[in-house]
Amino acid sequence: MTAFFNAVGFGVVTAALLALATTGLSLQYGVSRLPNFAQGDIMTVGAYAAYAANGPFHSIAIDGIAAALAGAAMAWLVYMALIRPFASRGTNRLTAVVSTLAGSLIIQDVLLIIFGGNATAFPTIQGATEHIGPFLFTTEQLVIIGVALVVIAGLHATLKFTFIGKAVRAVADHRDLSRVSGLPAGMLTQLTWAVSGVLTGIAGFVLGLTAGALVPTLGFDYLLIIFAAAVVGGIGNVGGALFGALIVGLGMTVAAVYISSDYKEVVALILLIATILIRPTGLFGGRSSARRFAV
Amino acid sequence: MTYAISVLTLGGITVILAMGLNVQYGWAGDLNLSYYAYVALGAYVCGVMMLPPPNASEGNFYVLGLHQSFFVGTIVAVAVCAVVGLVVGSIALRRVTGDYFAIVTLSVTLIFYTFSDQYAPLFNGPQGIYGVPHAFGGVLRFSYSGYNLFLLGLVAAVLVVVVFLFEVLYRSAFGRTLRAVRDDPISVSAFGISPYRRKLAAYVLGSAVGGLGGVLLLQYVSAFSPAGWSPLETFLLFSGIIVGGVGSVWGVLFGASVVLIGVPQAVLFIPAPAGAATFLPALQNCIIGLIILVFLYLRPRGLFPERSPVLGFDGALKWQSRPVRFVVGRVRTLLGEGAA
Amino acid sequence: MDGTPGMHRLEVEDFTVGYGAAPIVKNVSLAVQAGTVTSIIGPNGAGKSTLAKAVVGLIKPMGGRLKVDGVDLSGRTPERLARSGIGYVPQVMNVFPSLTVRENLEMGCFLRRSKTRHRLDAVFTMFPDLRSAAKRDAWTLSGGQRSMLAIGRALMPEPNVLVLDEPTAGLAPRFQTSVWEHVRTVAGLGLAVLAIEQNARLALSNSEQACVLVLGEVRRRGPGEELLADPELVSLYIGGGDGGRSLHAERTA
Ligand SMILES: Nc1ncnc2c1ncn2[C@@H]1O[C@H](COP(=O)(O)OP(=O)(O)OP(=O)(O)O)[C@@H](O)[C@H]1O
Ligand SMILES: [Mg+2]
Repeated sequence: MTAFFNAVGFGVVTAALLALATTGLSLQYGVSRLPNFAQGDIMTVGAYAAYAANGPFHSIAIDGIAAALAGAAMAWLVYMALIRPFASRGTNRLTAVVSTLAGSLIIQDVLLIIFGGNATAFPTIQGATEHIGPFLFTTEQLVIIGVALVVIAGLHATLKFTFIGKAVRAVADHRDLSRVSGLPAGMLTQLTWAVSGVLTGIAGFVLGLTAGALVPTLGFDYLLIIFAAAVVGGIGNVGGALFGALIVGLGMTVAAVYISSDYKEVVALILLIATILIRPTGLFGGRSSARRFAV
Repeated sequence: MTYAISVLTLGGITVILAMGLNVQYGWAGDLNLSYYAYVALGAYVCGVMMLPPPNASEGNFYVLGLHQSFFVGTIVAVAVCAVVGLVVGSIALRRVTGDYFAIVTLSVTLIFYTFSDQYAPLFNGPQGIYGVPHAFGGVLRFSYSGYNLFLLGLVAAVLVVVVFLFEVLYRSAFGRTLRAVRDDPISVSAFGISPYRRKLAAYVLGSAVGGLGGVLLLQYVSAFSPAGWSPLETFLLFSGIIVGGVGSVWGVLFGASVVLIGVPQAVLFIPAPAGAATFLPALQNCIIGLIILVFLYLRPRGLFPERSPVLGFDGALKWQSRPVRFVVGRVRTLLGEGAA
Repeated sequence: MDGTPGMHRLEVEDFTVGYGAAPIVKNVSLAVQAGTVTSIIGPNGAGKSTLAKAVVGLIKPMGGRLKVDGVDLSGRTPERLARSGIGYVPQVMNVFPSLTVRENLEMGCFLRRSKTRHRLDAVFTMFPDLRSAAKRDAWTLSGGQRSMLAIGRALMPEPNVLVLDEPTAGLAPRFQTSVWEHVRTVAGLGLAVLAIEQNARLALSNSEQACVLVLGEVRRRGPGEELLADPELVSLYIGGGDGGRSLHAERTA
């Protein structure tokens, strides 16, 4: 049992980074209705940006900001170059999915050219450990969890209470209706993608921290785990993203303790497949996500 | 000369692989990201059929090890791929299409990859299988270069058969209905045709061809291990299909030859910075990714688009292509208002 | 959009609209005078919604011109047409389901946010039901409330022209009449209203002008009362007869 309690700290950190990336994916899905297969690579870009910023500054806060900015820029670029040209043409959705796959390939290999294939060591900080109940956390883990919670709560409040947040939800609900109401749907979509990139970039930074080493496939290897969290929670749903991230993050951690850490991704993948086949609206998203799914 | 033979053999295998994927993506319209899992499965199964029992003292483990001939190995490998394709396809295609199908199939690939890598008793884990005997080695005693030439001939023969078979299938009722299902599943099911069964048939057929390609790939490298392939490999094959013409047999033959043989060769002329072993493969993938994007932007139906067949379905992967609406209109007329 | 009530005129000249290569709406021309209602009736699939979507800019017409007050607005995006004073209530998906009633209305006023409070009051006065439901999510509304909300949202920015696509679809007859009373009120404010309606009798008796769209072409047009008095039209669309089946037969012929 102790092993389990000690692992929970790591599991919650995994859940926190998953929650960030999944919320980003949900935002994208909300306004563009497409699964972005380059989402993992936006994380990778965030992680490498943090690494690049760490050299001159040695400040974890600046690393995080660099990751957020790079993530925002990358996500915006993914939207402009890979999604928008196909969304406006009324072509088959699959065309846009294929284009995000091509984007994923390009991003990974550009990173490979720039940074090389060998793992780049990422500075990990070993802080003091603290007990919260029976669980063991490092200070660093607590900071990560705190940042993730604040960022997601902030996003949630923005969407719920500010005018611009409501406008984004309107675009996500019915794009054409938002346009005939005079909302600048195109700009709001670009903004949403950039914001999704902020979350995804930070998630990539956290992933780099926990992995301790960067490779160009870092985020791509995480892509389906993000999809798993998103689908389990009910895609396009901020509350669901948190829930899905917790289930998948903790599920993977428990699997690592009790089965083998080699198979922890398999657990997430099986959760993903089972949810898609049995309850594609997600475990959490009852009515609301079913409605959001309607195209 | 040896080099040219080697390039052509690998190229021929790649084109065969693209042909099989084209049945699933081009004809059935399913974005199958598990294709390369069947290639790997075919290679592994043929390998463990042909190899002698594993020698545990050398740290080798794998299933079977039946020391069978290449012929038996190939048949078993293709059959296993078809059966696995039938099982996976009948679960996945019954429930999901479109982007969810892509996600499910990518997940299946990663699960298979993890097991082939981590679970040594299956296919010898990260070491993989190696030292696979030559095809027909017991009967035809070739020299090394003679064998390479023989393999090229074998690959060419398989390619010719596959192209011929697919060209016939393309024009057959099966091929036409399959493409009709892709363009407008709702109208087609109104005619009493089950989209699910056609798509499943395409998935199984593609999986079997993938397995056959895997067998040839195994013969080409005489070894197979997780380091030798990645789930993203499937995606490279898409470039040949998209450039050549989604669905079109001759188009894919051309597109796959140009992109999947030509680009890797062309890249070799680019001077790589010293000591960067990953530079050229990375550059090659970037170029292939860009080629895909450029074609999706400018010529989404490829260089040699599908010809419009009799039913009046046009080949574009579009929801609103005109002939489709024509059929919708017909169906509506047949069934009265409110239908379709 | 100047917001002054009064003389706003919508003109559709020679519109040809389609989704692919084949036109669905062919060479349709209409003019709607300020303060009047023009209704479009016609069988399912005639292209009524397609015409409406082209008027508000959601589909680019293959040919033809759109004018408001004589100003050529052809080829503008839906956002710009909304800014030029064209309001639109779609046939389906006409409210934002995850937003509350109040937020739906606020979205309608995106173009004139400073006026939101004032406009909310005006719309709530027109549709008192919405005021009491202001905090509810739109997806929980009944069909009638939803139609009211959709019309209210379109009226928020004080448009000059209102395009309504079957605002009464799926409503009980009593509510259908009430929706059309509101349509009359809106026209009374000086807007040019273009309304698509399935209930032909209701539409014709409440419209100054009407036209019958069949297979994308205008088959008949004239003052509403005149068409209502036409025995052939009445037998096709309204009383007894074969309930419009002969038009359907014509379609499939
Ligand atoms: N997005 C679309 N893509 C292709 N064809 C379409 C599309 N929407 C409608 N159509 C076709 O255009 C024709 C006219 O449709 P439209 O919706 O304009 O009819 P309508 O007159 O509004 O019918 P209803 O009374 O049922 O609302 C129909 O044949 C329909 O199948
Ligand atoms: Mg309509």
